[in-house]
Order: sequence, then C-alpha cells, then structure tokens
Amino acid sequence: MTGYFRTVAALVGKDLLLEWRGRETLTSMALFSVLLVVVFGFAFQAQAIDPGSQAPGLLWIAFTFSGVLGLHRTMAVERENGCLKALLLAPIERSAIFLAKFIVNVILLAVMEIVTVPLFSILLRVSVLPCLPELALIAFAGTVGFASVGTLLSTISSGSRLREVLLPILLYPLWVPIVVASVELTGYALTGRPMWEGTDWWTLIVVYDVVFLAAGTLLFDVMLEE
Amino acid sequence: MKRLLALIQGLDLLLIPGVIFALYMAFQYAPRESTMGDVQRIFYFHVPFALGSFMAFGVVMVASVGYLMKRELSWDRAAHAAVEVGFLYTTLVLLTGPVWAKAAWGVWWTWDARLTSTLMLWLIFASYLFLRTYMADDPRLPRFASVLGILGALNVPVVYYSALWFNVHHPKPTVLRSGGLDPNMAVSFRVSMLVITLLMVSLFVKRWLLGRLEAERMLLEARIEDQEDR
Repeated sequence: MTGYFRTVAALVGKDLLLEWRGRETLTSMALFSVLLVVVFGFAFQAQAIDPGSQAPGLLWIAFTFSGVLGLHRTMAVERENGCLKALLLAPIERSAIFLAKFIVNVILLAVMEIVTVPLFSILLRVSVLPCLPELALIAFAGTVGFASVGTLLSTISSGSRLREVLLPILLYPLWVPIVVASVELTGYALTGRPMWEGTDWWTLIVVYDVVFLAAGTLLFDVMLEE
Repeated sequence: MKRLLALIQGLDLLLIPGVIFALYMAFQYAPRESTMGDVQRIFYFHVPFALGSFMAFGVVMVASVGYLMKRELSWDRAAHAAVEVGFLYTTLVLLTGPVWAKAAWGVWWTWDARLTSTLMLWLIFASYLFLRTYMADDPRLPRFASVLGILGALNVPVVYYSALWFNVHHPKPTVLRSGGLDPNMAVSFRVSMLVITLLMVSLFVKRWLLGRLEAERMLLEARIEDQEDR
C-alpha cells in the first residue's frame, strides 16, 4: 500500500514539476478567470452585487469556466509524444494514475481559485474576509467533485477531435448537483448565515464527491485501454 | 431475432387499441379532480413517462455495466437504445410538466429540486447522445459511452428522491405507495402505466434490433469497399 501511495506521489510530483517548468495550464486558467471577473465587472457596471443571490453564482461561473480549461490540459499533455503509452506501460495500477491526475487537478484548480477570489472581492465589491474559512471549505468540497468527474471525462476529450469543446458538454450536466449545492452554500457564507443551516446541501456535495471519486477510480481503467 | 421481432409486432397490434383505451380511461373514465380540475388528467401520462424513463435509464445502467464486463457490442447497442427511449420519455415529462404547472402554479417552470434534477438528467443523456453521434466511427466509443451511461444512470435515484429530500413545489411521489388515490383514478393510472411501459418495451426492442441492422450494414459496406479497392 505504501508503494501505491509512493507511485501516486511520484506522478503528482512529475505533473507539478512539468507545470512549474511550463506554467501553461495555470497561466491560462488564471488569466481566463481574471478576464471573466473583469467581464462581470463591465456587465454589472458600478451596481452593487448582491452577496446572497448574485455573487455566489458569478464566482462559481468563474471557477467552472476557467477550471474546465485546466482539466483538459492536464490530460492532454499526456497525449503528446506518446507519454500516455509510456505511463500505461509502467508497472503501476491505473487507479494510481487517476488519483495522481485528480490531485494535480485539485491543486491547479485551488491555485486558480486563490487568484480569483481576492480579485473578485475587490472588483465586484463583495466582502469575503469574514467568511474565508467557510469559503475555502466549500470551494474545496466543490472542487473535489469537479476534479474527480472532470479527470475521468478528460480522457474522452483529450483523445477526440473536438478536444476542449467536448469536455464542458459532457462534464457540466453531471456537475449540476454539486455546483447548485456549492452556490447555495457560498451564498450562506457570504451573507453570514451559519453553515449548519445548509446540512442538506453539504450532504449532497459529499455524496456526489464520494460517488464520483469511487466511479473515477473504478472506471478510469476502462477509459485508458488503447 | 425474427421471432423477437414477430413478438414485438404482436405487441404493437395490442398497443394500438391499448393507447386508445388508456386515452379513454384518462379522459372519460377517471373522475374530474376536485381542486385542480381537468388539467390533473395530464398526471396519467406525465407520471408513467417519468417512471418509464427511470426504467429505461435502469436498463442503461445494466447494459453499460454488461458491456464493460462482457465486451459484446450487443450490450452497447442495448444501452444506446435504452438511452434514446429514456431520453424521449424524459422529453415528454419535461413537455407535459409545464402544461400542468402553468395551470396549477401559474408559471411554466420553477427551479425546484425535482424540475432541476429532471432537466439535469435530460442534459446528461443529451450529452450522451451527442457523444454517440460525434464519435460514431471511433472504436473507443462503446467504452466511453458505457462510462457516461453509468455516471448518468447513477443520478436517477437522486431525481426520484429529490422531491422527498428537499422542499419542493412538485407533488411528492405517491405512486409507489398505496392509498390516497380515488379507486377509479387508480385504475386509470394503472392502465396508462401499463400501456406506456409496454410502448417503451416495444420502442426499445425495435431500436435495439435496428442498431444491429446498422452494424451489419456497416460491415457490408466495408466489405464492398474492400472489394472495390482490389
């Protein structure tokens, strides 16, 4: 078992090193989310954005639209130069590859979110400082679900002609329950409502996170048969 | 295959009077609902379509898992056929629902958990069908489609129980429990449930067989091209 986790750690290390050398994925995700926030700013002009009803939705639009770019990239790099074949030839469990890709995706998405939130707060004048821990927890829970089903489906999009166009089409419908719950809970956080009032939403997120992670670990093998 | 087709054609002959009978039961035999009036009669179609779509997506789950375990294309074609029928039924749910909602709630649509999750299910299988059309000649398609089919079918319980878990406008599901329904209404409901379920079986089997013919045609075409090349 320790060997398994060492494999996962090595794969994560490889991907993070690759990303650090090139910084392509992070730069494109972060830049896109900055652009989105600026577009929101233009769209709403100087009007105050309601922290309960509008801000959470806008924030999660920024997260998901930018996030889908990264999800596609982390798998697409393996398709270049036959890297994926080499990975599949390595004497390691396929689920280790899934877990590694999933962890890398969570890390990259988290960095993008950390860049987005302060900018979102300043440009759209939504105060996030009082609820930062809650917001971080919600973003993490939502991102885990997004990354798990996204990692699984990015194997389809990365090997297809349509490439990054295909991923959101397949991913967003499955991602609806988690994003609905995340948006609701973010609304609770931004308006200072206690988290325990949203127990139902937490249950929904956690159930979907667990189901998608389990499905991803079990089904990843099938996706990668070449 | 021939025998199965004959069986289904026999079923179709029963279905023609069956559908007319179900219409009679829903519009004539069943009493007028006291508070909602005649618009309630859409319930005799809306609910069977919804339950029928759940059954179809159950078949999608079984057939997708079956394909991944056995790797026979027949399972994959069964999953495809079930998705098409389930998608059609979900579309009918989403069309009949608003007609009732406009009369009962005064709006065509609200974003409550039941409606949202049904729309989500429809979108998931719309993307499934998109993937199938777009990757039609890709040998990896059956695997990809099976995974997507499993992920989609996992959502069916959520759609069914969403009306119980969350506070929704949508009426709670009462069909799978007894009591509460006027006996004449219950009879009408059972008739239309039976007819709509059998219709689904007929559509599913025919689509499945059609998929097999399509596969055979593609094989023949490939062979003809092969000979022309020579």
